[in-house]
Amino acid sequence: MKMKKTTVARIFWVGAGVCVIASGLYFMGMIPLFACAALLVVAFPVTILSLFFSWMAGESGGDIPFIGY
Amino acid sequence: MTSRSSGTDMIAELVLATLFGLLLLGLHRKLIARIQRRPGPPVWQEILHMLKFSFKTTWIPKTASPVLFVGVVLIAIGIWTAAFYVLISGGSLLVILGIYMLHKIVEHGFGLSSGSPYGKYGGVRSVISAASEIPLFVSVAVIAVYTRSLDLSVIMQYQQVHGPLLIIAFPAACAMFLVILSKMPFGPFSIVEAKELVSGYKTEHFGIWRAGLEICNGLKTFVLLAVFLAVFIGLLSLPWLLVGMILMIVLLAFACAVTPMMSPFDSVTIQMLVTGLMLGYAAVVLMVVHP
Repeated sequence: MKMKKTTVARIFWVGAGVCVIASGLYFMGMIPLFACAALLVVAFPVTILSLFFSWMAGESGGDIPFIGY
Repeated sequence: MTSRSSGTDMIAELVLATLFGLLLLGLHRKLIARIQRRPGPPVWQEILHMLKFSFKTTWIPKTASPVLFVGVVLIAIGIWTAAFYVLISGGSLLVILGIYMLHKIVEHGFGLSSGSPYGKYGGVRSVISAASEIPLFVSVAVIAVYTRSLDLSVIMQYQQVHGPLLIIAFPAACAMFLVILSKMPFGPFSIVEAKELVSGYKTEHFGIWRAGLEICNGLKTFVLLAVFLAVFIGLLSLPWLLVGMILMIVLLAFACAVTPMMSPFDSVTIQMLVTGLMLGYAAVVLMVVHP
């Protein structure tokens, strides 16, 4: 299964948006720290991996995996 | 560490902690190499590793369970992100203890998800190496006897009044140091990463999955060292916290460089012996502090 560059880029922007909005809401005192942290715990890993995918996805067809001698 | 962060700080602190943790791991490798009279990689090698893997072609092996294979990477970063926020909010040490245990389950998941025999053996060894967490339980019990709380903020306040627990409960600090040593790469208890298992539980996680694992390792290193300093030294300003972490890495690097990796059996035996000693110490502390 291959993901399109545009799809992973969208996932990245959604993840980054959740991180920024959660931090902003905490800063404005609208949500407590644990709620902000809970959102970041979920969004941060997704954001990071989708960022990596967004600069790699669709760039190549993949190598032939090593299957032993 | 107990002050409330502003909104942007919440993300910036997380990213900087990850990068500093990776830098500490690089310093760890460099110091081990220099002690062993090798040139070693540059200090920023782990950051380069993370970036390098993020540019590698990535796929999911045919033998893997795709959901678990990808899910464990997300969970690994997620649990240490949670540990980081527990730390900076001065939350419960019990939650961090739970995350230390959870990390072993995640390592197990890494190994089993790929379907590779090397990964599976690495996963099994990570379960065996959970024995290294038992001295931690006793350390935490001793801390609770002294401070009557397991909240990091209360433990730090206690030390502002009574002095560092490093002096008051030195054996507990040694036991927790052993726990950190067991989680460092190239250490005597690093049986999950032994060379006969290729790369152990992470053998099949390459490319972007490995880059995610590197991020997890950076954050884990930062949290492990910062929690140790918070529990046994107390509240530190940021520069002193960073200096303390570098000093701890120097100590850990010396311990790793001069000690050969043990067999799984010896590793567990030593950790159980330490646990026995710590139980005796905890009983004495309990009788002296609360007669």
